[in-house]
Amino acid sequence: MQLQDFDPEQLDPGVAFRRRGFVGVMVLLVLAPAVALMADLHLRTGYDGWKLAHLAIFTVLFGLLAFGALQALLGFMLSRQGGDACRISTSVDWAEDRAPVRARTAVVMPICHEDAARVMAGVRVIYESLEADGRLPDFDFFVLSDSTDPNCWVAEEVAWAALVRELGATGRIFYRKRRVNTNKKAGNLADFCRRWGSHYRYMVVLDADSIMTGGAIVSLARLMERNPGVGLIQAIPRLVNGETVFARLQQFASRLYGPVFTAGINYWQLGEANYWGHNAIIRVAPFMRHCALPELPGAGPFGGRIMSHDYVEAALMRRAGWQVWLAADVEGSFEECPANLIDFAKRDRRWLQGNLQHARLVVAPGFHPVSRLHFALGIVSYLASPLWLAFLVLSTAIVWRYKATGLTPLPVDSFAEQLSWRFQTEAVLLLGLTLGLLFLPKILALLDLRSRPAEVAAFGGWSRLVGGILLETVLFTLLAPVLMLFHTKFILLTLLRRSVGWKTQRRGRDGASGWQESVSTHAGHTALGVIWLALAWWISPMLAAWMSPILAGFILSIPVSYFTGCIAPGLALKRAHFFATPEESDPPEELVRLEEHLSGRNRGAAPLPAEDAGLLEAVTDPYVNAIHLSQLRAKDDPLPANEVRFAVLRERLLREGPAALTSRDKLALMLDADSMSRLHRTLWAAPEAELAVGWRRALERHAADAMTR
Amino acid sequence: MEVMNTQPASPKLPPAPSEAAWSAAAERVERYLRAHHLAGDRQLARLTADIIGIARARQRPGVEPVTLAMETVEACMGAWFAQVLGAGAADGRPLLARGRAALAMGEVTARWPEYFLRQGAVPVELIRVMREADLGRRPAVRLGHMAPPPPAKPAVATGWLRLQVSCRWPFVRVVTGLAVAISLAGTFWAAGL
Repeated sequence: MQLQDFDPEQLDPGVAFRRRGFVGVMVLLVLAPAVALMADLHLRTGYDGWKLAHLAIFTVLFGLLAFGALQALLGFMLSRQGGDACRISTSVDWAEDRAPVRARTAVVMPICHEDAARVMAGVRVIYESLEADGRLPDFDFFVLSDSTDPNCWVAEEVAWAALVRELGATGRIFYRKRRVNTNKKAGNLADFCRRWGSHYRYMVVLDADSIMTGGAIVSLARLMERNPGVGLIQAIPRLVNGETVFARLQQFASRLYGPVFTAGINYWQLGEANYWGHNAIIRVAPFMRHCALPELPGAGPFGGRIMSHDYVEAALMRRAGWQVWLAADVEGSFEECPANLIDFAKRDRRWLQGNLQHARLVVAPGFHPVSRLHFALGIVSYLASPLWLAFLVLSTAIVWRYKATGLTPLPVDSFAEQLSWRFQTEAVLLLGLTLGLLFLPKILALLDLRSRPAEVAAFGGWSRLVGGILLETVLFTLLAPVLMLFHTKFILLTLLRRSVGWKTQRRGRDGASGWQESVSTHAGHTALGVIWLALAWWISPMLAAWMSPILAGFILSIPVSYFTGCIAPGLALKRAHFFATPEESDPPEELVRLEEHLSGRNRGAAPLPAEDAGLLEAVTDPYVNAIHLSQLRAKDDPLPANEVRFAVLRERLLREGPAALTSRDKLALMLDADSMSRLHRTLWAAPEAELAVGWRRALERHAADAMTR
Repeated sequence: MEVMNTQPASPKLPPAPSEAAWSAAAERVERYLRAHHLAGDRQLARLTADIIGIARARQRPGVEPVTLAMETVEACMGAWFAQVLGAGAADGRPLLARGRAALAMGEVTARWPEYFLRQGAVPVELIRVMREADLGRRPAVRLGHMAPPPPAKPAVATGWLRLQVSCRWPFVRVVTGLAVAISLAGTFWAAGL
């Protein structure tokens, strides 16, 4: 086998140092003149505390903007040169290395209250893809559920059993529901590792909405086999299946600008990349040895269990000497995205709290400096919102002070005598520099596409591509200020120690907006926008004009949030090939099959909508009961006190109906194999007079269903 | 073909319950069999009648016909599953549940309705399908070590992550640090001016 030049383990640390130094210097080179210009603008009109604070915030925000834009620039330049030589994917000779990868690999999908049919359709597509590639024998699949809602739980079991039956995948696709959901997703994975981790060399971690092709999974496994010093490889998940305007907007933007950004990110991250929580392959043994999450001192929201586990796991892996790489060019990795702004914000609230919790880890001993940088950037990415808001407030206050004092700003000379620009010229220059950095990634992405006409066609052609960028720019300009308000509010709530619940995201059709939710969520944003606009106009019409794009976002938040979250306009755009992506125009076989499996059903419909339907089904239906029992462990030595308690609960459940029991009691019964077995037997053997009305109806309904089956 | 009967009839019959009660019992048995996706009215009727016949022969005082009938269904199923799945098939799990899951996974009642609960030889393919359809089969649990470190305590270097960051208010620290840095910068700037 011909080996490629690049060997991650032989990577000279000096290369990483020089690259990071280069990026840092470049950021400073862009940042310094901008800060100088802003400082000069303030200097020429007189300094005070407000302006110092304004300048400090500007420095942070502009630094982040410059960092992002430079990554895109680096990615573009590397792409022009045929790609970075230091990529994990170049460590394998793909043309020559076709020997089967004989490493036991688990494909694990932690889920919690997700749409069971969508989850299993995703597993099916991945399974079939691996099967088609002839790679199935080395892979086992685990659906790891943390669902506590009995309806979801039973729906998952039924969907899983149906999948196993249809694929003939007994002993290949496993389902496990934890009894206690300790430490959420990270705890779920750790539980898997403790029980079955030692059977597998690698695990591919997926989200409930992840899709990976068999080729992508095998490629990741091959990269791991080729690089024994690598502990984790993160594939880039491309956003797909968006139906609302908001979702299509995100997938268009991430697909178009993503490649230049990820290439740039890989340039400086190298073997100290990050883990995004899914669509990644992990070497199980070091993960088990080094990546158990410690508990942070103190109570939530900053202490206790680590919420955002992925960054920490990557940092722990790196801390133990294992490399973590980003595989930006492994194709066939997909995920879905929230369908509307409100769901997007809900997800951000969870991530935000998790990221803020990392503040304790930034200075914790032992971590690689780049891991610390990941923590810090994760925090700053959310702190940027309150900083931006403070920047806007300060801008308003600075102008207001001129009005309040009645003084006319009379710019004096620049602090640098060589600078002979007028005050207005400097202001325009600064604005131009800012806009230039904002638009640079978009321009670079377009330039990058010039050499790939087929991809341009897949984006809908040049006209739709440019039109899409313009519309995306307008919509993101309106959406970004609202997100800024959301983030600021979330940070305040977190600082007030109001913890975040772990809610399931809605994706696809079930994520469509509703007017009521839009109005109730954005009424405050709208009011703030109207008041701010009036204030800005009163202070200076020029200030109102400058701030109008942001204030328009506030004022229009209700209709923008609603319409971007609607499916009909999203589908209309899809039909017009607007916001098209290559994955949509020429979908890979796996995405086509996923759509086929999901077509003909309402993806938004809850699987068992009626209250207690899951429990009724698991007790009444002999097959569902058997499937449920197959996943429960019979107790070897049950406690007599528990037996008595369960007997009383069973009696009440059948005689008085499910409503007579608390949710906790019902869940306890559903977790007890003996009780579920006895309930099924007793229900069917009891005279109708001894059963609660709900059970009699369940039996009748069941018989009717069986007749029509 | 006779339905699989596993228990001897009671030697002494108690007073018979009403025929209405037996009809209700028969209806329940039929519903239960239908719930196993057993289709075909004639097949259902024959199996139900056989089961009710056995149950009638086992009447016990104070026991409702529906209870007797369902006990009989259970006994017949237990015997049939034991025959089809073989000794030790349940592997410590309830045989009935294991068998019902195998029926579901193999779609046995739809594919071989005539053999369901019947005495005598069953097709080899049916046996294979049911034996392979074991939902409880999982890789053996091999408990590995993945214990998180104990909660970090302030000022204790454990060799693990010393996650204590001395301050319980990281954001206060961050904000204070930022404020100090800005103040210093401002002071130097002002002094320079």
